[in-house]
This record gives sequence, structure tokens and C-alpha cells, in this order.
Amino acid sequence: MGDLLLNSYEIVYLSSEVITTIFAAILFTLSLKLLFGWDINRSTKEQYYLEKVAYLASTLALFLFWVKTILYIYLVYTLDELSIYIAGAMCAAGVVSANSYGLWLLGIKAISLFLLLLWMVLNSYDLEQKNYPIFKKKIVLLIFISLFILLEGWLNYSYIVNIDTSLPVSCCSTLFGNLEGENPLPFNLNTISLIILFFLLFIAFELSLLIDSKLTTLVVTPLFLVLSYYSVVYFFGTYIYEVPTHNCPFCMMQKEYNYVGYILWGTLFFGTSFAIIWASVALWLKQEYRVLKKLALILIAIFVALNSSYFMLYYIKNGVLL
Amino acid sequence: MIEVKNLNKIYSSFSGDVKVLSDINFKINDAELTIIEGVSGSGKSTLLSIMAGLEKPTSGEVVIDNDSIAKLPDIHISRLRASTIGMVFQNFNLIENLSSLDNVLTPLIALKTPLKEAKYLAENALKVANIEHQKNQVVSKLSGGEKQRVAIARAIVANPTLLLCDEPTANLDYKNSKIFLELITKLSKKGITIVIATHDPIFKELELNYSLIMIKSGQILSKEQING
Amino acid sequence: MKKILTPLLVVALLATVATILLSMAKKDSPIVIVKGNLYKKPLPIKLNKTNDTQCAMLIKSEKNAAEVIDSDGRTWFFDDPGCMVLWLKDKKWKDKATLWVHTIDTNRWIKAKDANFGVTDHSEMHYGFGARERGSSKTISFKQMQLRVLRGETMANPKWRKKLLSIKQDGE
Repeated sequence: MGDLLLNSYEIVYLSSEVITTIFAAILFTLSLKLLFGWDINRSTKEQYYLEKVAYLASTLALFLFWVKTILYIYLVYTLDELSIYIAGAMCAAGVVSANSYGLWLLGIKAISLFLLLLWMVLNSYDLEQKNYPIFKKKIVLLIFISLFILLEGWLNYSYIVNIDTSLPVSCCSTLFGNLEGENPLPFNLNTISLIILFFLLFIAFELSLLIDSKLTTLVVTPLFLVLSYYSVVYFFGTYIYEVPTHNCPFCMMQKEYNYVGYILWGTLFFGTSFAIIWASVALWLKQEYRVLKKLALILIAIFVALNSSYFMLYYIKNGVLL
Repeated sequence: MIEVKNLNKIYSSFSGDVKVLSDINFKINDAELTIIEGVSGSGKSTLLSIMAGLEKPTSGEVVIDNDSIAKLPDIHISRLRASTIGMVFQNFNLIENLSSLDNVLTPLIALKTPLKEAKYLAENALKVANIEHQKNQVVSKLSGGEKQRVAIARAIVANPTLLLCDEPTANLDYKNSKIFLELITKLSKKGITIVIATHDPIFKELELNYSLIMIKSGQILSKEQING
Repeated sequence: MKKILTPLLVVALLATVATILLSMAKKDSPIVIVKGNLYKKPLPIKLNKTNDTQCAMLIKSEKNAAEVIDSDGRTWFFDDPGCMVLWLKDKKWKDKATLWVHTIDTNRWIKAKDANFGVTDHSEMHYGFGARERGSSKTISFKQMQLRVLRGETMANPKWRKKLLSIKQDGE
């Protein structure tokens, strides 16, 4: 129980997370106050006070976004470093799967980052209008976000306390390894059709953004996100590792591979998030944030180019494919 | 039109609350000249700050052209201040080591006016303020009266509909104060709504119609129409 | 620009749907063996997608299923402990293999060599040996179970079945 609680990486990580959890709790109470007290038509002392509260809440949300982004990267780095303490783990994959909380933690963290991004866009829309048209809606979202971050706080604790260093865990090759006869890919795809689909969806993604087809973007982006995950783990990853059987989403974040995983997963996450936010805000509020669209176009292009470059460089260097 | 409704301002500190403005109500029509008179500490500067959106009231509101200024999101207050409100301060608040022209250009840079157009507008404003001959002079080398005229040029360069002046003649001698009065007369005749907070009796020499609001300890004592 | 891009997008979307549909229409080949299980832990069986190597039937339930793991991490799956014993009999490495059975009393994977086997249980291939974590006077050890399977002394053998069932009745 809690063998890793006193590890120095964990101390830094957990104490930072404690701060964000406290802030999330504050954010939660502030949001409740705003939800029930806010009335822009009043000119009372209370309303002017709530305006200041709203300002504080949005500052907290912005702060949480940056800290959470940095902490996410740091968490993955920490998990990788911790793999030396846990028998069987060769990279973060084993550490994450040391108990059932690990994957949940990474997932909830990604969701709350996405929601924070969405909130920042909605907030800036709201403040660009004169009468706060979506104020209550954005506050409801803020309540959800603070609850998600509180949940994260609990998951952080449960995850780390429940890592038992004496129990061997699986290494990435058993977790993600291409077991013979078993197909890990969705839609019963094989590697070739996976890659064809990956590039088709990439083209569809970029085109839907270029011609402003928001609904198409909303349909294509989640599909592209899922397919990209599999394409990186089961195809491009093997060219990053230059080993045909090495299928792991985590090892590529190690120094041996120039930490390229951070760039790959980062561009994928932010690129798809921006696209979804751009399309849904444009459909809902009739307001186009072209900068989000441009960022989505560029980030996903970088993601695909980087993946392809590993594949092509391998082919140029070796004249064969894996 | 500007409408001040039930305006209260309380400064809170550890030693207790200080009520600076209590229950202020008045209206100012477009193109009207209003002088708010009161001794130092009567709350007139605070009132002007709230009207300019620089400060928020404790309760009540200031409505400028149908917008309740204190309730607008910051970005709109800034836009309003940049495009429709000009301000002149007692201490001029100029950037001392820039030339007069550059000082007058600053609000236009914030408004992203193209430089060529901005220069034209700035020179025009300097001309209106009778200080064009000093346009390339560094502000620190100007006299108090000249500085105030540069400040006015800066306040009117973006073509505001409302000009707020906080003790504009406090640092001016009689001669320069008279020049200031002439300028105000000129601007008022152009249709700009002007509000001046002052305790300087020289404004009694204005040859214009204006409304006079007397303020004491944060309360309005009297409102009257003066025909100059 | 938009005039060219829109048809392109439509083509890309159609091709995407076609690729997915074509791929889904392909027949799934069942799992027979899994490689790389170096920790020799029991793997969760993908039900209805995994073949019993001995009897070649698809495994429908983990109940009373068995797994054999070679020292190199290769893993085979069985729907009945009897199948596992029969398949293992001529393997040179059978003594070094790690054997797992899924118990019918505690519903989890345990080492086959630690398990106790009932002799008249219902089992997938009717050999009658149900793996249990808790032993009793009516259960036999793995070694005994192995011998009985190899001699054919199972519920699948009609004569032996009669004998076993009469013993069972006597006991009651």
C-alpha cells in the first residue's frame, strides 16, 4: 500500500494536484454562487460582487487549464520514471495498468482538459457580447469541470496508494502486443486497411475544415481520433521503435525516442479538440473562431507528417518495410 | 445620453467602510456641458472614474447610450473608452519622453487606426487644441498649459462623444485656464458632451449654457441650469 | 476552391465508409494461440472467438476452461481440463508448462496442479472433471485426474459413467 507515496516525483506531482484540487473545490463553490445569484439586470451590491466572483472564477479556470496541462505531461513522465520500481513494467504502460485506476485517471484528465478548453472558448464568446448571453450555461459547464477535477483528485490518490510494487505488472508487449490470431484493431481492420482509413480520415478531416462543413467535422474528428490511436500504436509506432512487434503508446515518450510521443499525442489531442470545439461552437452559437480551425488544421497536419516521416525515413534508410 | 442611477460607492478597508458617493442621480443630454463642483474629497473624481468605466460602483449604474457601463464585460468597457470617451486629468498623464504628436497618437494605435490616417487625425486634434506648433516637441519640455492642451488633443483625437475632465485647471495658471475655457467652448459647440469635475471658480466665466451639479460629501446638494 | 474540395471530401467519406464496411464483412479467424505471455499469467479468453486446440470447438465460457503456457510464453486455450490433459500428453515440455484452470466453485484462475477435481461434474466435453479450489473426499488431485483421462476413465466413457453414477448414488 502506498509504496510510491514517498517517491520524490510523486511528492511533487501529488502536492501540485492537491493545490489544483483545492482550487477546483473553490471553483465549485464560486460557480454555485454565480449560478444561483447572477442577475445581470440588477445593479445591486450583490451583483457587482458576483461580477468580481465571475472574474475570479474565470481566472481560476485559466490557471487550472495551464497547470493541468503541465501536470498531465509531468504525470506521464513520472509514470515512465516509476517503471523502474515496479516489477515487469518497462515503461509507463505497465505502471498505468498496475491497478484499475490508472487508465481512468489518464482518461478523466484528458476529458477535463478538453472541457477547460471548451470553457475558455465559450467564456470568450460570452464576454464578447454585451449582455452575457450564455452566462448560466458556461457556469454549469464550470461546475462539471470542477467536479471532474475533484474526481481526478480522488483518482490520483486511489491510483498511487493502490500501486503494489511487490506485484509484477505486465509490460507493454503483453498489454498492447499483437497477439497472434487476435486482432486488436477496431472494425476488424488489418494493418493495411487501417492505414488506408487513417489517411482517408485525415483527408476528410482537413477538407471538412477547409470547406467549413461543421457537421462533417463533428462526425469525422472522433473517428479520426480513434483510428489515429490505433494507427500510431499498431503501425507508425513500429517504425518509431524500428521493431515490428513493439506496439506501445507510452515507450515513444522516452528519451530513446526523443520524447516524440509527447508531440504526437499532444498535437493529436489539441488538434482534434480544437476542431470539435470550432465546429460545435460555430453550429451552436453561430460564431466562428477561425483561429481554432487554423490551429486544428496545422496541428493535425503536423501529427500526420511526423508519423509519416518515421515510416518514410525507415523505408529510405533500409529499402524495406517492417 | 448619460444617466446616473442610484449610484453608491463605498471603499472598504480594515479600518472600516468609507462611503464616497451616496445615491447619486442625474441625467446629461447629448452635447450638454455639465460642471460638477465640489471641494477636494467630495467624491467628484470617483464619480468621474465610474462614469469612465475605470471603477465599478458598489451599487447603482451609469448608463451611456443604453449600455450600463459597469456591467459590460471588460473588453467592451475598454472599447467604449477608446472610441467614445475622452479623458483629461489633473496631472495630464502624458508620456513625458515622447513627443506631443506621439502622445496624441497612442489612443489611435490602440484602436488599430492605419498610421497615415492616425497621423492626420492627430495633427488635426493638435490643431483644434492650439498646440500644433509643438507637435514634435518632447512633452517634458512643455509648460503646464501646453501639456494640458496636448492632453486635450489626445482626449479628442478618437472623436469621442463624451469628454470627461477631472480638475483640468488645477495645475494651470489663470492665463492658461482661460485658454482651456476657450477650448472647452469650442468643443462644446462641436457637439461633444462634456463633464468637468472641478473646484476652480474660473468656470463661472464660461460664456456658455451649462448645468451645474454641486456635490458635497458624496451627495448632490443642488442641480441648476446656468445660462452663460 | 470549394468547388473542387467538396467533391473530394465526399469521395474521401465514401471511401472511408467503404473501407470500414469491407473490413467488417471479412470473416473473423478464431484465436488458437497467443504469443508473448512471458509472465505466464492466465489470459482472459475472448469468448466465442477462441478455439480449443484439442477439440477445435469455440470456447463459450470461462467456466471450467483451461490454459497451457509454454516457457516461451505461447498460450493455448481449452474448454475442458480433459482436453488440456489429452493435448499435453505427447508434448515433450509438458512438465515445464504452466497450467491454469478456471474453478467452478470460486470462479477464478488457479494453477491446475493445486486444483481439486470433481469426477461427475458437467464439463464441456463431458469428461466430468470440474476444477475446484476447495477439495473434499469426493474430489481427486490433478495427477489422478490426468491418469483417469489418459486411461479413458471419464464420464465420456459409457461403462465408466454408469459405474461413477452408481458410486455417487451409493454415497448419497
